[in-house]
Amino acid sequence: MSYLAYDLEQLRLLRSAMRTVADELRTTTCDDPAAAPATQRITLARLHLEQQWLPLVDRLAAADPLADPFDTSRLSLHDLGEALLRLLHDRPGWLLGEAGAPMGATGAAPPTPAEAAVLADAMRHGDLDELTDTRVERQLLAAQLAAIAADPAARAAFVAGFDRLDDLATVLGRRRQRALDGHDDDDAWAEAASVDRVLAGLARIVTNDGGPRAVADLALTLDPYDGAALVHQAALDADTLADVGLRLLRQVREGREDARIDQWPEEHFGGPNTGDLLFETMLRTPGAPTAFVIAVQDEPDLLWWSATDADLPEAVALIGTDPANIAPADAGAVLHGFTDWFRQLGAPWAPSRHVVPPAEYRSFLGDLAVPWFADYGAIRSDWDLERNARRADLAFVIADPEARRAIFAEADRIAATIDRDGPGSSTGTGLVESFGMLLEVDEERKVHEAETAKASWDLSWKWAQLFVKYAAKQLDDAGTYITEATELFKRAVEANGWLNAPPPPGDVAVQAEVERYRALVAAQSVALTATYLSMRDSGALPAGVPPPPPPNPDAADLVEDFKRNYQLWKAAHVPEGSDVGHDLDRVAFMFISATDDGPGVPTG
Amino acid sequence: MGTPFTSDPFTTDAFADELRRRAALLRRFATRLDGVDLRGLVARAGTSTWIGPAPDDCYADLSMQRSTLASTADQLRAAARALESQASAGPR
Repeated sequence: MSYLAYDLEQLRLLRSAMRTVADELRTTTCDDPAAAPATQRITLARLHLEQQWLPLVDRLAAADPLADPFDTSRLSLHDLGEALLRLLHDRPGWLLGEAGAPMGATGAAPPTPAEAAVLADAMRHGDLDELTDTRVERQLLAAQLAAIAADPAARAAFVAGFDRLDDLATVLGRRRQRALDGHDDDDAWAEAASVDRVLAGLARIVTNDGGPRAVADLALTLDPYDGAALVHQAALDADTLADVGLRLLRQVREGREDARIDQWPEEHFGGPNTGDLLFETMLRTPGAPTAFVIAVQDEPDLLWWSATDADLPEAVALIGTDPANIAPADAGAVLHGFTDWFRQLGAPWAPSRHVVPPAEYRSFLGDLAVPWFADYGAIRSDWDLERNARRADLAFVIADPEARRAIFAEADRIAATIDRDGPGSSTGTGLVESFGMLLEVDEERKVHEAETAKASWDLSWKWAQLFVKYAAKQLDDAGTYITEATELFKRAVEANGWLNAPPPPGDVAVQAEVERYRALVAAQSVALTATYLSMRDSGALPAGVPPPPPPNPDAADLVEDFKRNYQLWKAAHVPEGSDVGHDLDRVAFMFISATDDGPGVPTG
Repeated sequence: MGTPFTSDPFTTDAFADELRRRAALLRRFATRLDGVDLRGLVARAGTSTWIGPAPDDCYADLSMQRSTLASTADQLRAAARALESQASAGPR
C-alpha cells in the first residue's frame, strides 16, 4: 500500500503557485537564435507543470477526497496502517488517506525517507505486539520494511528513528511460537509465514545497514528461538550462520542445564524449536552444514540434541561430512567427535521432551561413516587420528545393527567396483587394510554378541571373496586367472571337506578368530592358484607342476599347515632363490604375513 | 596601383550595434527567467504541503527544473557577453 497525506490549504496554495509559474514560463520567450536552447528548456519545464503536476494537484484540491468522513479511502486510526500515519494525522490541518491510482500516487513506489521516519517513530512509541497482531498489519509492515531495506535513504531514516529492533524480533518470535504451538495445519503455517515475512524485512534492513554480522549480533541478544527465527530469515553466509547457530544452541543448553535460569519458552511450546529453525536455515545455505559440524565436533550434543525433527540434524551431519563438502582431516575429527560422544553417552534419554533420544541417532553413524570407509582402516590416512582410535570408532559404529548394515552394504558396493577401478584408485587405496579392519572388528563384535559359528563362517567366506577380488587387481597378468582359480579352489575344498568343515572346538571367541583366518587362507589360496595358472601358461613353471595344495580340513593349525604345505610344494617344484619363487612368496603371504602365526590350535 | 582596402564604417557599426542589441535581448530574457519564482514553488511543494511517493516525485522534478532554469539563465548571460565581446572587437 502507498499513501498520500496532504494539507488542503497548503495544497491549494501550491496549485496557485504552479499556475502562476506556468503562466510566467509561457510568456518568458525570446526570438533570438542564441536563446533557442533556453526556450526549449523553459517549454519543457512548463509542460511538466501543466501536464503532470497541476492535474494531480487539481484533482486533489478539487475533490478533497478526505473531506468526507465516510469515504472508504480515508483511514481510521486503530490499526498499524493507521498508526503508521498517526503522527502525520496529528499535525494540524492534515488529513490522511490511501492514495490509489486516481490520485496519481504510485503504489509500488518505495517509501520516502520521511515515510520511513514516520514508520520508525510510530513503532518506537507504539505497542509492537498490538501493531503486529493481525496478518494484514504484518503484511503491510513486511512490505514497508522490505522497501525500506532496499532504499539507502529510507533505511537510514528508519534505523535512525527505530531503536527497538530487538523488541520487534522478540515480539515476532513469540508470535511465531504461539502460532505453531500445538498446531500443524495450513492456517498455523500461514500465520508463521506472515511473521517470517516481517522478520525477513527486519533482517534485510539490519543486513543492508550493518552487514551480516550485524544480524548475527542482534540475534545473539535475543532469546534463542527469537534469534533463530531472525536468522532463519537472514541470508547469512555459511561461517556466520554456523557461528551464530553454535552460540544460540549453547544458550539453549545453558538454559536447560542451569536451574537458576528459567527454561526457554520453547521448552513449553510445541512446534519447531531453535534447533529446527537453525538447521533448516543451514540446509539451504551452501557450506553451512560443514562449517557447523566442524564447529560442534567437541560438543556434538548441540547437533544431536537440539532439534525436534530428527531428520534435520541427520541431514546436516550427512551433508556436512560428505566428502564433496569437507576436507578429510576435518571429516575425521568430526566423525571421531560424534562417535566418541555417543560412546560416552550414559543416559538413553534426551534432555528435553522435544529432543530425539540418542539411540535413534546412533544408527545414523553408519551412514556418516560409509563415505569414509577406506579411511577407517588405511595405514596411511588423511585423518589426523591414530589407527587404533579409528579402529575403535569403526567397532563402535558397527555395533549398531543398522549402522552395521550400512557399512556392509558399502563394502559390498566397493567390492563390486574393484573390477572397474585400479589398485591406485580411491577404492584401492587403503582398501585391503579397511577390509581387514572391518573383518577384525566384526569378528570381535560377533564374539561379544555370541553369534553362531555358522553365521560367522558364512560372513567369513563372503569376506574371503572380497579379498580375492582385491587380490585380482594386485596380480597383474595373474588377475585374469582369478575366476578359474576360484573355481579350482572351491572344487578342491569341497572335495576335501574344508569348505563345509564343522566349527572348530572352543568357545565363540576362538571360533571367530579361526574363521577369520580361514577367510584369509582361502583368499591367499585362490590368489596363489591364479598365480600358478598364469606362470604355467607363460612357461615360468614347467607344464607338469601340479597346483598348490588346497587347505587341509584335518589340519590342527590351519595357518601353520597352509604355510608348511606351500613351502613343501614350492621346494619340490620351484628352484630355490629364483624370481618365480619370490613372486610366488609375494602372493602366498599377501594377506597373512610369513611371521603371522595365526590363531594357533583351538582347544575345546 | 589599385585602391587601398578600407572598411565600411557604416556596415561595421551596424553589425556591432546588432550584436549589442541581441546581447541586451538575451540579458533581459535571463532577467525575466530569474523572475519566475521557481524557488518559491519548490518550497511550496515540500513536505509541509503533502507527503507520499507522488509528492516526492513532484518535489524532485520541480527542484530539477529550478536548477536547470537557473543554469539556463546563466548561459543566456554568457551568450550575451560573447556577443558584446564580438561587437567590441571590431569588424571580422
